[in-house]
Amino acid sequence: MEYARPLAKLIRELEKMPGVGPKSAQRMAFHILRMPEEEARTLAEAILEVKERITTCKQCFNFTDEEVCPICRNPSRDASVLCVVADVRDLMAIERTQEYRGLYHVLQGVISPMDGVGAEQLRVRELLQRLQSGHVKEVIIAMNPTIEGDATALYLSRLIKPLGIRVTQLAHGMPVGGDLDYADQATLISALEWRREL
Amino acid sequence: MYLTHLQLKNFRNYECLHLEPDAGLNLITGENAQGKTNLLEAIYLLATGRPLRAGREEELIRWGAEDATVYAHIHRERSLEVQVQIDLSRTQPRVVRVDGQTYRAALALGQFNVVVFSAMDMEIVRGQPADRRRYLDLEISMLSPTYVRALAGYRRALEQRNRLLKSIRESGGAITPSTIELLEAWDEQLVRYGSGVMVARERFISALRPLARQAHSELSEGREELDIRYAPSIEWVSPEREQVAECFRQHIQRVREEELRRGSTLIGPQRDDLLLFVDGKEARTYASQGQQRTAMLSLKRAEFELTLQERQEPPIVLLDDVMSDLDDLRRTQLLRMTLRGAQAFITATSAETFPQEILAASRMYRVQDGQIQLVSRP
Ligand SMILES: Nc1ncnc2c1ncn2[C@@H]1O[C@H](COP(=O)(O)OP(=O)(O)OP(=O)(O)O)[C@@H](O)[C@H]1O
Ligand SMILES: [Mg+2]
Ligand SMILES: [Zn+2]
Repeated sequence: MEYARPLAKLIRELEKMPGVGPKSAQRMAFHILRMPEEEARTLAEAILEVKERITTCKQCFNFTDEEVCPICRNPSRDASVLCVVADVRDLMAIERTQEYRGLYHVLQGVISPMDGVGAEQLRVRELLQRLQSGHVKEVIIAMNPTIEGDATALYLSRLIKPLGIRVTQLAHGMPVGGDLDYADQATLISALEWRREL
Repeated sequence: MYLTHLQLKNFRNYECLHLEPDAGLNLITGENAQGKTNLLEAIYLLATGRPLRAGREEELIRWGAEDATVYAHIHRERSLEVQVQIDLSRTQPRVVRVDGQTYRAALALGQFNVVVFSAMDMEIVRGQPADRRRYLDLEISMLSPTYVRALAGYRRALEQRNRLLKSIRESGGAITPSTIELLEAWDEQLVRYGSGVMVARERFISALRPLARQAHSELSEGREELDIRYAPSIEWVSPEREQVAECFRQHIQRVREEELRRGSTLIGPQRDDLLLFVDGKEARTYASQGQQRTAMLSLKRAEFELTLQERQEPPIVLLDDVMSDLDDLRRTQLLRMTLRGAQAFITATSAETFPQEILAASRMYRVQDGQIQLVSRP
């Protein structure tokens, strides 16, 4: 026997979510079915609202429900430093540190010819336009330490350096408080490769 | 190093197997198609992460079963004992566990070393450059985890770069400065990982060379000379990482036009070869079958010695059905290697081809239809 159509439909939709397999889709659908109507409605509305209201900041391409995001609007942030990230999740990770006071630029991906992603598919042109203004003195490139991330970082640094702007990259390596014993080999190898003078 | 336990569940034609092999010689006999090679393959898989035979990973799972498990407990003299387990599934990527801790597959292997010798190994002498590169990659991976990483990085960078070159060619338009910047960003990835791969190959081959030469001289009783040489697609003066990287970078510049025209990467480790010479002539084309076999055997001996040097203990030796093809001298040489304190798994259809001293020193097993039976102990 199969599930009644509306239930089957919900399961099918949930299965499309990243990281959700048939089993968890089923569990989520059952959970929704048991929710009070009010709660289910709030969930449905939240989904629609996100689609209707959230756009990207016209300056940095962070997600926002206004034209310019709160980070870009914050006058106490240092507009001479720009941190380039691949996506908003990375921006949020850096924000959580509460250490960084500069602005961001969200590329919306990394360069990957295999996936048909080149500079035109990313916010590279917009980045260079922002840099033309002359306010920015340093660009921090914060890409994941993958081959695509490295290639993207290198490509950007080649485009930016001729503008006379300092370009830096996040260090790759050992997690702080990590134990050498327990670091996975890839991290350790990368930490060795990126070692510095004492 | 030696296996103290080997357990298989739904691996090839083994539904369930629990083996506690001898730390020395293990002789496995059985009719054709009973599971002798499959048993060696399980050990090989745990050591290298790869199946012994070409094909999809799924083919390792017993027909009709959903998943398979291969597990071994390894005793090592120079480091701690270790347990390696690989779980294979038809629906999910494999899971590798080292002492119960899950690892990303490519990096966890190299926990123990094997030297394998089977009829297929003749492809190293007779086959294509790709066969020899596969051989190099496997051997070096077992000795160096950094190599595994460099190789994986290189493959990825190469694939990305090839796609880029292809799309530039297909776009047919003028090549802008920005396209060149993009290409150079990928050049740099190729150089970074590729130079690591080439330096490791160079070092491995230089270390193997005197050992192979020595082994061949013994095997041929001084009548023949074996030489092995690395043939990379670019040249360098000294095999330092930075030097090699710089030469690679310069060479890429020189073939830029040609690569853009053809839409693919023309130089790099994917073009490497390992050349074998018997008495100064390339073994692939000029050596007789017997000479090729001796060359192969010498290479295996050299691997054994090299592992012994690097690991300070002998690797596990896997001999798949090769004894019957060898003459007495070579058979004795091969066995001498296994007798030097190494654990060995030797398969044959019958025990008749083995010298009495070997039979007396072996733990003997009989395989039939995926079931194994202990016949005798030394
Ligand atoms: N995934 C699998 N599930 C079940 N059986 C398999 C699987 N893969 C291979 N086999 C069976 O395993 C047998 C081959 O085993 P193996 O290659 O170990 O034989 P062998 O004892 O080495 O024989 P030979 O002496 O001919 O080399 C074949 O009968 C094959 O059908
Ligand atoms: Mg066989
Ligand atoms: Zn913004």
